[in-house]
Amino acid sequence: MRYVWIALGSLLVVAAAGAGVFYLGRERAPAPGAPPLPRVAEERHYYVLLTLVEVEPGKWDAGGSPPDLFYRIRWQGHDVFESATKKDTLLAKWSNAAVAPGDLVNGVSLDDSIKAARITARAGDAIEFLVFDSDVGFDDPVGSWTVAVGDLEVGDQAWSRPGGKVVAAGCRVLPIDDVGLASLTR
Amino acid sequence: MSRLRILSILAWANHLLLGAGLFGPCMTVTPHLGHLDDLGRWLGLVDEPRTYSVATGILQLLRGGNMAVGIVLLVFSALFPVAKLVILRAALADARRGGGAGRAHDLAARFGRFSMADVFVLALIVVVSKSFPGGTTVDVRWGAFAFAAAALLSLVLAARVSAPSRRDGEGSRAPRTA
Repeated sequence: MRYVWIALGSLLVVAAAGAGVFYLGRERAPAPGAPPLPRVAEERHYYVLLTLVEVEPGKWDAGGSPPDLFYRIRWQGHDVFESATKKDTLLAKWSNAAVAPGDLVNGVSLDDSIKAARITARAGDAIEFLVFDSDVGFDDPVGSWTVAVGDLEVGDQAWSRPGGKVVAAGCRVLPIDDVGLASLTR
Repeated sequence: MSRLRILSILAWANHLLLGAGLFGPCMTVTPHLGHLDDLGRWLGLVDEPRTYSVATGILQLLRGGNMAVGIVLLVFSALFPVAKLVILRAALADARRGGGAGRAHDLAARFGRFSMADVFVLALIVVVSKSFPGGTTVDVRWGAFAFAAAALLSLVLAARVSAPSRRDGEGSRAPRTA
């Protein structure tokens, strides 16, 4: 019985030390005073894309399958970008670029491969994000929201319940002038 | 301060070192894709650097279906070192009671011979990881040093705790003669 207590004591101390290390080493949320992401600069050019869209569960397509999601970006009255469609998902994710396997062999133009809207930041401009469920006959609107261009932040930003049935959305803004592999890989 | 008290303090320190070694950051794996590294990272094909502790590494292996490797690591990196500490403390407790060299002393002497098995397993992982393709790097973090220090300290403690029993010739086998 004495050895059982010794074993329990050892286990407890090892576990306590481990818990202490885990607690001290855990990732902390940014401090409230941490500097915000830089806003877009006037008259500069930017790539804008949604990296993620999550929609509410519910009745979507026939047979109970989830929606086929894609989005458009509207700027200055024009649809300046339409994304690829992500089939049967409640959580769609898009990357900066789409490159065919052959491009890796034959070479790829960086700008051509970037799948994003191109905009110029101007005071008073707004950018509209429209998310759709792609259907055979008619694309059903899922949600849309408008953001003042001046409010966009360079880098990744997240929105909660931005509009319609969209639960969460992630947006990435990259300065066109600075886009090289190094800046994209940060 | 008596010898037993010093050994006892060192045994508790060994517990703390082992806990830190098991749960502290042990290695950071930074994936690379050779000359396609930038492009791969840009396309999201290359993961961000990940840091593992011994404990999270074992969990990843077990969850990922690598049961055999996971169990070997669990035994030699977690269960075996803890068992050594339990035996050490039992041997020290016996010594404090003045009971002389008992079964715990015997076990401490025997386990001492395998004290470096856990460090060997850790070193093996790092060496194997160094040969990952595409220039993927593995950086050893402080948790690995804490783990190695715990193993070394337990080796010293096992030798110190089992030493009297060997001298007294109690509780251990007689030396073999040719």
